[in-house]
Amino acid sequence: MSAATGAAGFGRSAEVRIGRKAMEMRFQRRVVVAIAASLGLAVVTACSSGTAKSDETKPAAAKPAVFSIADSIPDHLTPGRGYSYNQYNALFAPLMRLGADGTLTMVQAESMESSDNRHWVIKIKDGWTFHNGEPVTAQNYVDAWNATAYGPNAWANSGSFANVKGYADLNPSKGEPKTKTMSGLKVVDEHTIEVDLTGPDSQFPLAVATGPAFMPLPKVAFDDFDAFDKAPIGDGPFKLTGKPNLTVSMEVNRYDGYKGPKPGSDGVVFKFYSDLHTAYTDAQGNGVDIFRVPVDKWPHVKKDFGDRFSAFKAPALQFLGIPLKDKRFSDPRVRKAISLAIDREAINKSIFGGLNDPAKSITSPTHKGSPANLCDYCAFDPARAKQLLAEAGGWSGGTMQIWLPGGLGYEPLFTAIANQIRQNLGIQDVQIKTLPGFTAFFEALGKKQVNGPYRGMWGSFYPSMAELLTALFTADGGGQFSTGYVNKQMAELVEQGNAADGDAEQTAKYVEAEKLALADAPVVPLFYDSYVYAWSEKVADVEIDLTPINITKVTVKQ
Amino acid sequence: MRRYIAMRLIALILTFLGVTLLIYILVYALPGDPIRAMAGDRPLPENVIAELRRRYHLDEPFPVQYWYYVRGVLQGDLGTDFNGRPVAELMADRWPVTLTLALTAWVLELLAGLALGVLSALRKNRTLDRIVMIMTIVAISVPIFVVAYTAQLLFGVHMRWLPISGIAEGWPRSYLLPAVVLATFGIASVSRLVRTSLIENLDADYIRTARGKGLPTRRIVTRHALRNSLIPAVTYLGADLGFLLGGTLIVEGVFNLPGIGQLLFASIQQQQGPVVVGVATLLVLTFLVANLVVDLLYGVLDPRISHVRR
Repeated sequence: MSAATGAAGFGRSAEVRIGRKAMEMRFQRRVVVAIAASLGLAVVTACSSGTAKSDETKPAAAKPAVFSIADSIPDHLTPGRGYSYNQYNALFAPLMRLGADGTLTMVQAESMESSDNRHWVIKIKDGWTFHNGEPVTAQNYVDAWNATAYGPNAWANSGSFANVKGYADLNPSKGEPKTKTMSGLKVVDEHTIEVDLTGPDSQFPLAVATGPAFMPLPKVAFDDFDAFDKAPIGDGPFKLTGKPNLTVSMEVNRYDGYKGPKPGSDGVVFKFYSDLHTAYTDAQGNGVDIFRVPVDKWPHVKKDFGDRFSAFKAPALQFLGIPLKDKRFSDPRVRKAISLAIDREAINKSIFGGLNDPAKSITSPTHKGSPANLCDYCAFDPARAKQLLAEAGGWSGGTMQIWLPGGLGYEPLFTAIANQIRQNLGIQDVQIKTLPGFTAFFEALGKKQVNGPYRGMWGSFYPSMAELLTALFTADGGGQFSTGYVNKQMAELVEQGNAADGDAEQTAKYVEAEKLALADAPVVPLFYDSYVYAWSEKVADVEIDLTPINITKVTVKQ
Repeated sequence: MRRYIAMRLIALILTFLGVTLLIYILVYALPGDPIRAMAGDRPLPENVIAELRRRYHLDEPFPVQYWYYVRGVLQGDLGTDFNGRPVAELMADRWPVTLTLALTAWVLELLAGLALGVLSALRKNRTLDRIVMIMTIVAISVPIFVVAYTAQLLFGVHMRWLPISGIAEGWPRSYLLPAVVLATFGIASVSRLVRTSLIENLDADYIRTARGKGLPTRRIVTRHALRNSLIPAVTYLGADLGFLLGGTLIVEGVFNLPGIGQLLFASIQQQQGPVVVGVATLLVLTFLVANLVVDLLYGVLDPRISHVRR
C-alpha cells in the first residue's frame, strides 16, 4: 500500500491539467458526499436506537416514582430457568420471604406445615392473580415445579427439587424420562399442595422461601416456554412494561392487583451494565440508583457514598480447599498451621475495606442457629502455626502453589494469603497459580491436577447450616464445589438434625456435625462474604438481604 | 478497474471462509466447557449440563460442530448463543450502536485532525503549532482507559454536562463523550500526518510556481498543497475505520454502550462460539471493505497510482 506523496508533475500539458481540475472537483464532491452520508447514517442509527426513549415518557399527571437497578443482562426471565434474581423478585411472588434477620413471613402462602419434616402441606392464599388475570392456584405451582425439574428442559434451577420424591424419574441417568411429573407432588385442592420428600428435611421451608424455582407459572407459560421466557407473566408486585429489551434496559411497573405488601415505588428500570465499575461511576452522578459494589471498590465506598451503602452478611463461606490426597497436606496439623498463619483481620482491612467478616467457623452467623465460633484453628497465631508445622515434620514439599481462577479479581486476596504463609510459616516458596477463568479452574479440580490450596467458595442457597455442611462435605453435595472431604458420621448427624423436631434440637445436631468436621481441618475457612450494595441520592428505604435487593420496599425521593 | 474490483471481491470471500474457520478453531480451543462457564461459580446440575451440551452440539467433534455452523450460515442462520438467543438478533441490536460510535469518532478524526494539521502547518514552529504538537503527543501516549475514566469523572460526575454511561439519551449526547475519547488517538495521528506532509508540500517547486503565478494563498493551500498532502491521512483514516469498529471494545466497556465490542468481549469470556465467530467475521469484513475503498481512493487522489491494466 505504498503511496507516492510527492508533488504531481511539473510542466504537464494543458490537457492533463484540465483533466486534473475536473478530477479535483469530483474528488471534493465525493468527500462532501461521503461525509454527509456518514453523518446521515450516524443520525439515522442514533434515531433508530433512540426510539425506546420516546415510549418511556407517558402523559402522566405526576411524575411516576421510578428507580433503577444496575444489573447484568438477564439470562432467562423464567424463575426456574436462570440466575436473574432481581427480575424474578420483581415479576414473581415467593411463597414466603426470609427477612434479613432470618425470620420467615408468609407472602403468597397461607401456611407451610409438617409433622415429620418429610411430608409437607403448603396452603396458598385465595384471590391472588397473575398479571393477565388468571387466578394463582396450587396447580400453577405444581406444574411450574415439574417443568423445572424435568431433565430434558435443562433448566438451571432443577436441582432445587432434588430431594422431592420422583425427581430421579424426571432425570434418569440414561435415556428419556418416562414421566413428566414428580410422584411427590400432589394438588389436593385449588389452594393446597402436598410435597413428599425422599427423606426428612427440617430446612425445606428455608429452601422454598429463597429458591426462585418455587415460584408459580401461569398456564400460558406451558404453551411455549421460549416465547414466555422473552416476556413472562408473573404474579409479583411488578409487571412488564412492554416487551423487554435485553440489550439496554428492561422496565417493570406496579401491578395493582398484587395482594402482597404494596410496593414503595411505581416502577423499576433494570439498566444493563457489562461492568459494575461503570455503574459505580454512574451512581455517583445519579445516573443509576442501586448497584452491587465491585470488590475492589469496597475500600472506597464509604468515602464515595457515605451512609448510602449496605454490606449484608451473606450465608457464604470463602475458604481454602486442600487436596487431601496429596501427601504433603495429609496431616491435619499442616492444614491447621496454614490456617493459623493467615491474618484475616489485616487482609479484610486492606482488601475488603473491612466489609467481609473473618471466618471463625465453617457456618456463618447468617446460617440459622450457627454459633459461628467453632473453629479452633482460625485465629491468627503464627507461633502456634510454626509449632504445629514443626510437630508435623516441617514443610519439605518444595513450592506451595495456591490455585485460583484468574482474571476475575481474586489475585490480590490470594497474593496476600501466599505472602502471609511464606512469612509466618517460613516456607520459602509460596506462589499463586492462576488458571484462565472458572472453566479451566474447575476442570483442573475435576481432573485432580490441583496440587496445593485452592480458592473455595460456597454461597448457600438458603441460610441453613445443613445446606452448607452437606454441600461441602458429602460426596455429591455441591458437585464440582465439594471439598473432597467426606465424613459419613457427620452426614448422619446432619440427617438427624434434618429429622429433628424444633429449632433447638436441629441446631444442636448441626453444631455437633460441624465440630466433627472441624476436628479434621478439611478446609481453611477464610471469610464470610458480604453482599455490598450502594445507592444514589434519589432513593431511600433500600434494604439488602438474601434476595438480595428488597425491591418492594424501595421508595423514590421526589 | 472492474477486473481489479472483482479480484478483490473474490479475495474477500476467501478471507471470509478462512476467518470463520480460524476463529471457530480458536474459540473451540479455549479451555473448559462453555456451559459451565455460563454458570460461573454457581453450581449447575450435571444432567442440565449434559442436556445443554447436546442441544448446542457441544458434545460433537469439532468438524461436525463447524459443519453445523457453516450449513446454518449458508441458510442465512447465524445460530444462537447458549441461552437460545439468535446471533443475528444480538448483532442487529448492537451494530447501530457501534456504527454510530465509530462513525462519530471517525468524522471527529477527519474534521478535527484535518483542521489542527492544517493550522499547525501554516503556523509552523509558532506558538499555536507548538501547543498542538504537545497536545497530540500527550493524546498519543496516554492510554485510552485513562482518557475515558478522566472524561467520565470530569464531564459526567463533576460538571454533569453529559451522561456518564449508556445510550438512553441517544445521539449526540450519549455518544459525544465516548466518541471524543475514541477519537483522541486518531485526531492526534491525523493532525501530525497532515502537518508533516503539508509542510513538505508547501516547500515544493510547484507551489513556488503557483505563488509566482500570483494565485491566492487560500487557493494554493486548499487546491494544490492540501490535496497532495492527504494521501497519508486517507491511508490512515481508511484503515482506522476498521480499527475504530474493533477498538470500540474498551470504550464501549467503560461507557457501557451496548455495542458489538461489548458483545464480543462478553462472548469470548463466556466462550459463546457462534456469537464470537459472527461478530469477529463481520468486523474483519468491514476492515477489508474499508481497505478496498481506500485503495480505490488513492487512484482518485493521485492518478499515477492506478489500478487500471493498460
